[in-house]
Amino acid sequence: MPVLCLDTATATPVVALVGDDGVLRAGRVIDARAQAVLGAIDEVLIEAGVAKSELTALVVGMGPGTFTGLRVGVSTARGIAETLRIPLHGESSLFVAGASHATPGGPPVRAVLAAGRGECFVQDICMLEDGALRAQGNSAVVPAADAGEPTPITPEGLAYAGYRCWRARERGAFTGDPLETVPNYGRAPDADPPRMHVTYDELTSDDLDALLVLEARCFETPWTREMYASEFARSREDVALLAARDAGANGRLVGAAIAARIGDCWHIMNVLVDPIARGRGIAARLVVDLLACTDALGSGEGWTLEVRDGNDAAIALYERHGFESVGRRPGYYEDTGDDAIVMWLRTESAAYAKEPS
Amino acid sequence: MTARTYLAIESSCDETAAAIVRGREVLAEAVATQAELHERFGGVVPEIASRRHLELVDIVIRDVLERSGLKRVEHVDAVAVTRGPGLVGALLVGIAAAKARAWAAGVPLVPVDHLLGHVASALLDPDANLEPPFLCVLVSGGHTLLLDVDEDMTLTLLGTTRDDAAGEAFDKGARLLGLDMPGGPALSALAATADRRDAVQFTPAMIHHDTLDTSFSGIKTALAVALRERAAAGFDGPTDAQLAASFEDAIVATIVGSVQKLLKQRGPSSGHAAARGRMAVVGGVAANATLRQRMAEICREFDVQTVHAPLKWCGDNAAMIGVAAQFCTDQTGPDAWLLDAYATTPLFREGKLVPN
Ligand SMILES: [Zn+2]
Repeated sequence: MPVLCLDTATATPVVALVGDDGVLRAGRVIDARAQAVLGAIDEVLIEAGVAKSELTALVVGMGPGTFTGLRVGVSTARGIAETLRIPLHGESSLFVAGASHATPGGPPVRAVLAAGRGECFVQDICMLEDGALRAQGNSAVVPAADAGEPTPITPEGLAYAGYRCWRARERGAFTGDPLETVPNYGRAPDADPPRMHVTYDELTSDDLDALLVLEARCFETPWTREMYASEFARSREDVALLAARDAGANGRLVGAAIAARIGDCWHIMNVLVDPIARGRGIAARLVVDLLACTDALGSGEGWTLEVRDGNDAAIALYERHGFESVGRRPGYYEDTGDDAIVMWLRTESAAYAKEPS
Repeated sequence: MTARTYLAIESSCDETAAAIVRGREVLAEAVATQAELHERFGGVVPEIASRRHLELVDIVIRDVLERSGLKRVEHVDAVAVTRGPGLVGALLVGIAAAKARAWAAGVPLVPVDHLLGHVASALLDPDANLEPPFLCVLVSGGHTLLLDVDEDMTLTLLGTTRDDAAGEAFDKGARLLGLDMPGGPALSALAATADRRDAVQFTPAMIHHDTLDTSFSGIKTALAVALRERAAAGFDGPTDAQLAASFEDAIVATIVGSVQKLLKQRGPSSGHAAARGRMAVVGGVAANATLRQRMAEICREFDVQTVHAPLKWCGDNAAMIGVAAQFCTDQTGPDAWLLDAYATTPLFREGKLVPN
């Protein structure tokens, strides 16, 4: 049963229909604006002799890229997925661009996507021996003159990245709620972004789907449904589950924090904030609340956590709340082999009640 | 024949709206306004509006499908969507949402002009049972239009503004008076507190008598001058409320003045071949109480029935798009899937808008 993939982040939107064997069945590069993408989708299905009702899932390129193009692609993909009642998953257009030119075990490919205003988004993408796609380093916005030519996205590359994305999400038991697929514009609009109206409360098991999406938007190796389910299953005295929501967008989950009591201390398992909601102090507020509510349950020896070496923003945040680095676990993160920094906040030195600086 | 059921979507400016409409009946509707979001920028910022539309459009559509009990797009006869005029980036979000649903559900797509939608909002008055033909005055943030609406809802442009639209004039006046956006309602509320409405006289703009066009910029200048003079006189003079009342009255008088000219030419006693006995008042400014009252008076003088768009459908909404769609042609097949937005309506280019 085929999966329909589209990416409208570039000046030449691409559509690909890929079979459940991963083989490209039909594709189009559209030499027109994103408004024409539905016409290409219609053609591709006809060419492959596939009925709409046979589609299993959709994958849409989430950018970064041209703002209007992205919106048209995401709105189109959501509308189709909603109506056909099939899952929709989002994949980074930088990965799609990388997959269009990388070879297994080959050198990294520099994915370059036009960002407007004479700038480009740039990210090195690597295809491992087993075919997995990995980003190397951070993505950046650089002057177009330094970035080189934008990387053309091909139907083959879109089919490849789209198929792998769909498989991974399927294994992770993602529901693929179309409304949770949000474009990554890569930059703020020219005017200041509006303030979100963020409210804080507790996570419930109803948030599980939204949490998995948030995970996928924050981390390359997200937690699975099972991992979350086991946290929700803990006794109420032994777990703290906090949510940050955008009240202006139907209470959409934009942040979450989880701590669990293991032995005589609290392990901060996860603090995550949607990339589009960062810079609003949501993570700091979640950490403060997490410390306060676990303290109310009895803090024992204190709090501990592991953070990826190099995640300076997170390390600084924890340090502001009194955490100290006490050690290192080499190769803790399996996906990249990065070390984990172990941090501790002892009950006797807890200063969490102070406002974050 | 039972009336057809439409899912209608509107995203031309700063309201994200969806509705389920059957004939003249609105089965469910949702309007998510962004007014507050844009207030701090003193106007609609297109990129911010477009991002917000994408956050909201699927939510409002889900909502109306649920609440109407229809549940699925397959259960409507067609999907109607505002094609323009408006902010292209904003329109494209609604258009993509509409096209995708029509395509996936295998139902026709109906592109609708936003101005035709406003005109059709008058058909939603449950007591008037208005049907074309009629005359129409469309007053909103973007437009001040006098229109002839014939049997098939073809619009003919009879008069327009030479400068600002009426709603724009209200906003600018409100800004001069230091009021919050949206300015129209705030200015009217202030005007209503004036102890007398004729403390100052802002003369309605003089436009050559053989045109039905209007102009508002002179009134705005008059208010600015009055505020400066008052400040120069040590703030001795008319109150803010009195100034607001005079300003509102002058704008209303300008609109009503052009309507009066129109009724002389096209009212039942005019002897015109296409004389009309009914006048619809639509658009965001049609919610203004002073205008509603003055329109009713002037129409009575000419023996013309006034039909005001119901208050909740004066501003941008999707219900009006669903009604207007009933006068437009279904689109199916490849052309529908390539539908693009337009920023300006053919009404201005051609002086006429034929429902397509
Ligand atoms: Zn309007």
